[in-house]
Amino acid sequence: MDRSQLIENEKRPVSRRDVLRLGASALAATAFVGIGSHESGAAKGPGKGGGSATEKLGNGPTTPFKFVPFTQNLPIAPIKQPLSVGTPPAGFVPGEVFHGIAPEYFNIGFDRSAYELYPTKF
Amino acid sequence: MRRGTQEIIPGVRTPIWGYDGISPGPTFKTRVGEPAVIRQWNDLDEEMSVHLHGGHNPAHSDGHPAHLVLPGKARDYYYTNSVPRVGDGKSGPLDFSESPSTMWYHDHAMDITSHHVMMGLAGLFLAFDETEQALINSNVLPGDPCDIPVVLQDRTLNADGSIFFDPLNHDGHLGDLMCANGKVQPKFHVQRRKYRFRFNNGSNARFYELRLSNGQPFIGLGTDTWLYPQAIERQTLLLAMANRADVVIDFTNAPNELFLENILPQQDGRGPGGTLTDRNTQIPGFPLIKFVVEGPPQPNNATVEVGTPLRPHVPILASEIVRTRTFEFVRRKGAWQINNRFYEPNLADVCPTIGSAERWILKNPGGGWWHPIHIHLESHQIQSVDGQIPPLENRFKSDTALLGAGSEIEIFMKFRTFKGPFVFHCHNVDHEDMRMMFTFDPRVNPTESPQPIQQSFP
Repeated sequence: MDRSQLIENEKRPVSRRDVLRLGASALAATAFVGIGSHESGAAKGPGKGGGSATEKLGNGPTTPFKFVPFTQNLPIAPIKQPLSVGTPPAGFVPGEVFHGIAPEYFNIGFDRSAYELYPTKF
Repeated sequence: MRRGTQEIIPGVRTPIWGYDGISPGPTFKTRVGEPAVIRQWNDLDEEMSVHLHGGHNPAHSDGHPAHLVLPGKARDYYYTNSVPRVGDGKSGPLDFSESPSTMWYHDHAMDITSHHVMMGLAGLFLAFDETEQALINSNVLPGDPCDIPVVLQDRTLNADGSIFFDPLNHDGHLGDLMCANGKVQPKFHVQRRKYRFRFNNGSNARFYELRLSNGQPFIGLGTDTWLYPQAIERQTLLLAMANRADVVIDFTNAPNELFLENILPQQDGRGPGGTLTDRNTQIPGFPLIKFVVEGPPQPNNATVEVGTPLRPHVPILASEIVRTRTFEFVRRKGAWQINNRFYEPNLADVCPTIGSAERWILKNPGGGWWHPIHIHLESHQIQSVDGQIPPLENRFKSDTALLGAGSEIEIFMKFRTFKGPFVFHCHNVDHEDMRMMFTFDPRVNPTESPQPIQQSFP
């Protein structure tokens, strides 16, 4: 992925890995173009109990959507049910997925020519 | 691990990354002593590593930053769900004071944890041993459906509804949407009875100090992963990133509307204002959850109250300490270091001996930055904070010690059961990604450090 691809790719957010690949300094001037645009005027809508509509909560851009707080129910995450208890589930073979050296990672991730793995140029 | 869509704000569809495509991910409930294998498939575009935060597990299944699940691949995580042995950890009875209760799991891939957690890769992982299960069965502690996991996270949304993330922010991102379990400022309908809440600060850089709007205290059951020896009263709950507060709220005599609020304002990734012992709190705070309290008082209310015995605590004694080490957490070269060194995944910075106990001094020399320090594998026991005895809730077991601006913490810690490598790091995940992380690598024989890591499971 070169820089122009990165910037034009609006569907995929820029990740820190992308930054490391490209070099932070090279991306700095254009970084926010690909992240998404931001509008002002969000409503914090804190409602009863504290806070104010003008209170600055974040340290980045402002979320450009208004909403009325306390209208959504608190969702409770579902309990993850085991596939089996006491015996391996059907079709499950321990060790069938990689669990050791993964050469493909080194081919992909440790290509030091593509980016600097350890940040030393700040 | 896959993509999903959620309405953080009503009517706004937000693409997220989640375990099973939801955020927070599904809650795991396991029994202490019953091993579990969890196969994690990575259907996303980047490498992942799933850390079970608070778990006592082998290095290959801990979620080390360089032990990855590649895109399109799977990895089996083997959770022994065991506890270490007392004493030197090699013999003797099992140390059931180490039985975990409230863990959480989240991404921990090197360099990119912050983005992954921001996208939604986090969830609760609960464990129950016989002691805790007996407390639930005898109606001392609330059980299902009154045992409620809550992940608190802040978010900012872009104009297209996607989650904002700034990869160049190395200080710590604060969102302007205060979310609980993936919804901004939700409401929760409760009966007039006691509920157990497992509050988890799953935010990247935001601190919380939770308070009930009517000033009613919480009944504290535990800090981080572990239960207290007995229930204690807590007026507020200070939660640094990754901290958990296991508490009971008694709604029996509560007003019809009650708010859980955050009374700790924060302007940037540096941390909240004030010092650790003199925080700039603001009452009333910002409301996070509205409790709608309904109906008459319920019969068969759980019986837990302040002073109720929970799980006996086995302390680490000063007489067990064999070595003292000091770690300084500093900002340097535009990023974050420990003892003036960036994280190097192939280097064992510390090589404790398995079965030994050590005294670690964690120092934050200045700059106004707050650093919650998470140490993998084992609980630690906070001995002092700036020379003072820590608050009651922090005197037992923790897995993430809050190092306030200019603070110094003394902890005791044991290294048991498993060889390394494991890591410890700042849990402001932007600081972590930008290298405020060290490897400790427990070894069978005494070994000076640093050394190359002794085993690798990439």
